[in-house]
Amino acid sequence: METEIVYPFHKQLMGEPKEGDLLAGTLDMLILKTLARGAMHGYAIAEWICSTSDEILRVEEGALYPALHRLELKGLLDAEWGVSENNRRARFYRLTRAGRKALAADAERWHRLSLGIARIMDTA
Amino acid sequence: MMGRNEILLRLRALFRRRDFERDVEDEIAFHLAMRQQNHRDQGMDDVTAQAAAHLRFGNTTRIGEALREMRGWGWIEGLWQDVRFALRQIRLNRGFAAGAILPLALAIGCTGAVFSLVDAILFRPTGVTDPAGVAAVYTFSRGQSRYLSDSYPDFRDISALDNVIESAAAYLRTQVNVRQTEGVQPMNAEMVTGDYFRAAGIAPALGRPLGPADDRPGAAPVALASYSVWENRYQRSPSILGATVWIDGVSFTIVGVMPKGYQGMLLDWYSDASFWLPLAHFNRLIPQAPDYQNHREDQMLMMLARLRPGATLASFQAALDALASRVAVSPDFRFLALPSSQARFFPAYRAGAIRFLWLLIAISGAALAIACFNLASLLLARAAARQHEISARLALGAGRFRLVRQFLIENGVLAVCACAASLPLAMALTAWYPGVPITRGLSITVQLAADWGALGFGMVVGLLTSVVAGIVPALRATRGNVVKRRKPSRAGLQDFFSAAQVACAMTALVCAALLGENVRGLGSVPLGYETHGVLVASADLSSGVNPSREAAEQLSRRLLAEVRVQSAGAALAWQVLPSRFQIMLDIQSEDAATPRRTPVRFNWVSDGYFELLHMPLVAGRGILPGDGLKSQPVVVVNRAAATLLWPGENPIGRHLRVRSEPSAREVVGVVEDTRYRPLGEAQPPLPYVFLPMFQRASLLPFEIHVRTPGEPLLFAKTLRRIVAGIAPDAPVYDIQTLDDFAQAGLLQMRAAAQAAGALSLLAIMLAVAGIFASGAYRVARQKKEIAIRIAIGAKPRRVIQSFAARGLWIGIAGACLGIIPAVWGVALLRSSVQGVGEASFAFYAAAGAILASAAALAALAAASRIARVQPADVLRVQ
Repeated sequence: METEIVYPFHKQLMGEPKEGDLLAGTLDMLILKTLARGAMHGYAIAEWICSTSDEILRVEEGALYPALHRLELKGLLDAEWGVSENNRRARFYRLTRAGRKALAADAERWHRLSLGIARIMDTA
Repeated sequence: MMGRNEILLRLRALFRRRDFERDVEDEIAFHLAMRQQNHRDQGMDDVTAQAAAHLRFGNTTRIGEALREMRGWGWIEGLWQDVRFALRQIRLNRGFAAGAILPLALAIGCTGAVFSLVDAILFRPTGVTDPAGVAAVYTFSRGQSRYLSDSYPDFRDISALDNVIESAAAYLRTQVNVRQTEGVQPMNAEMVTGDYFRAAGIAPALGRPLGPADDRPGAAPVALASYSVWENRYQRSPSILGATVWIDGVSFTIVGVMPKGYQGMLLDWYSDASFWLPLAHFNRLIPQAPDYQNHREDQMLMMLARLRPGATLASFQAALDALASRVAVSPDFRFLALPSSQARFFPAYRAGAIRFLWLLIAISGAALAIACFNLASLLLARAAARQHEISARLALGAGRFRLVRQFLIENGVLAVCACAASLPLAMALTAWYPGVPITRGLSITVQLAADWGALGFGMVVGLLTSVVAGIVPALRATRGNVVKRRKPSRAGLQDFFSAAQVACAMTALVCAALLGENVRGLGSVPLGYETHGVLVASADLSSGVNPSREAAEQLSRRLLAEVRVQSAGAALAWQVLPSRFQIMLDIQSEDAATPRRTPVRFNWVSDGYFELLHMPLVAGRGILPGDGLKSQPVVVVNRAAATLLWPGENPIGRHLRVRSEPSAREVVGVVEDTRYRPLGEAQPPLPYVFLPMFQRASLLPFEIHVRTPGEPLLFAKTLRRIVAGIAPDAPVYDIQTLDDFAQAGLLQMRAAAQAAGALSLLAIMLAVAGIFASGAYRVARQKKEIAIRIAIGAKPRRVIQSFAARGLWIGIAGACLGIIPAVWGVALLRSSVQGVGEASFAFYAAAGAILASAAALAALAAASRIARVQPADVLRVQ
């Protein structure tokens, strides 16, 4: 089985995802979805996405943190320092109310998109 | 757009930078540690696990940088860094900073103050509503090309032109005596016709305006107080409405308060008015012009008219021309409508005032140019000194834009410092201005309470020019190839700046010398009468009630007698010389049926006046104590008047009639011409007539002239005591020496000459300092070359000479360059200040020689450092 690397962000590490990109905002959406389960640190987020997708999706770790910080600046996430499961200082991210709303909107959009793609791909 | 949340987070990152940086590092380190642990758990050894974790994460430095940048402030942060760097540079190079900031502060301070003055005089709203719809009307004498004010009949006729104007008002400002708790005080009152408030479109700050009903004969006396009277005397209490104020013995009821700062449209008419009164009460206050409402000769009113919507100034002027052809007192007169923007001065003085402002602008502009050339040359020298820093930064990859930006910011920081340092100067200058008479003999009433707008404009101009001055040095400094060892560029540009400074100095020097010569010349021109040792004071024996004519004469004669006992002579006069007032004379001649009509300057004077002022009699007699109401009406004329009225004939025994007087006067004496203006205008002597004071219908108030044995002002106390003995609370005011009075018109020229002198000194100093600095810099840079030349046998003296010659050339080039602005400056000076002579070629040559030799000396002083060069040492080090 091949592994997809989510969001090779090299060219626009800093850039906002652009509308119209097919996968635009996909990483953001995955992060938001992951955090819907509760507060997590960056490493856990990467691991969870990887394991939950049965290792189909592998987050490029270098791109993860800029995305997290950008979402924090946008007010979709809150960050707090806490103690990790192995007793180390770690930064935990949590969805804000705005983040929840954004997640709902993203999920909606994604479902419509995948449905559309599926319909086209399913034609004979 | 940044959300609030984002701004807060960015601000936190800005102010708690250390914490933030540590957080970023910690977060990445934590991730790497977790991944490493994960790899170890999968059986990798420590080193491999670490490498794999790093490999998977990517470039930690770059990601950390990305996170930091995300919360940064972008170019603003870079700007802030540059500003801090600039401030550090200033701290490190205090000498350089002082050399750049001080001249700039001087120049910016002057510019700010001058703009504030220009704004106050020409542009600040006068309080008149919609001034574009208002015109001022003057009588214009075509023959003499002179402006006069209007008469009441003129006003009445012009008001009737209601197809072009909506309303018209006449007004005049006069001095009145106001009785207050601490005695009687002279103040200014503006007497206005009923439509004044409507025509000017002003609404009182409190109470009601004056209306046509208040301006009818027999109307109850009502008045409006100025805002400052309300503030200072009534503490802004509304109880001012209904209060009574005694003005010249008449009780006025205050019905309103004028808008704050309102002083009417005309700026150069005495000092501020304290009360606005209906013109209907004119004769109760000032009985001199008993029938002014029916005399077209009594041209004493200012006029303003509000045009009908749709009417233009041209249509108004056409109506005025038609009117003038029917009613004007002389065919030579026409009525002239001026737009309100040109009516801020009595028209005759407007041009002079504007030229004086131009002169001030030119002086401050020159100061700014000098300071900017100084700045540019200093910056260039310093950029040269910082070449290593610049090369290193370019080599490390700094963009040229970034470097130029940093240079400009350093420059801007210097300019801002200069602005801050210039503030006290600008404030002091604006505070000083109102004391300086702008037009001859008339000081201007402008509100100069530090206007931040105008001051700010001046500063922005200063700031911009100084930043622009830094562009060339900044571009020059950052030019170049990193790889090649940066060779010191030739100092050509710096020499150019030095030459430009010399040129500025040349302009300033020529103008200052001309102006100084002019002022010195003016001060020494004999006036033809002796001003020294004479005290003049205004006195009003009526002390608030109008005494009868006989009582007034008795009081005046008693005053004269008592003052004469205690002094070396005393006389009364209506006005202090040089007075500008004119009367219309009718000259009866045998051969013509109608009398010739001539306006001349005049004064009412008592006996002893000519003796007191040492004005020599040419023929006949002077004015005697016996010349009173009951004796024959007489007049004394000056030589110019005699020549004008009766050319080639003996004037004694001739008759002339003053307009508005019932009978003719006989000429009994001729006095020598005097200069009635202190400024050195090369004009033919002015015709002047002197009428006996005690033949005047009303005596009060008058100017008492006292020749004192010692210092005139010491006599003031005695004078007050004598006046108090005669009329207990009669005001004595405007006490000054006749010297000061006669020189008053010189004050502005003195101020301008002093400013120009100081400026030229500053310019020369800066130019010399600039040449010295660039010379010293060149010597330091070419030490090796000099050492080699000396080592292979050149005489140090020769080397010094060759370096000093460069300074001489800069000086000569600068002086030649300076001739163009100097000629322009002289032309401006000659047009704005009367009596300034033409500058001869020798004059320019002398100024140029002074500057060139100063430049050569400065360069020589710099080059003399060569003597200290020890070839062996220099070459060993190199």
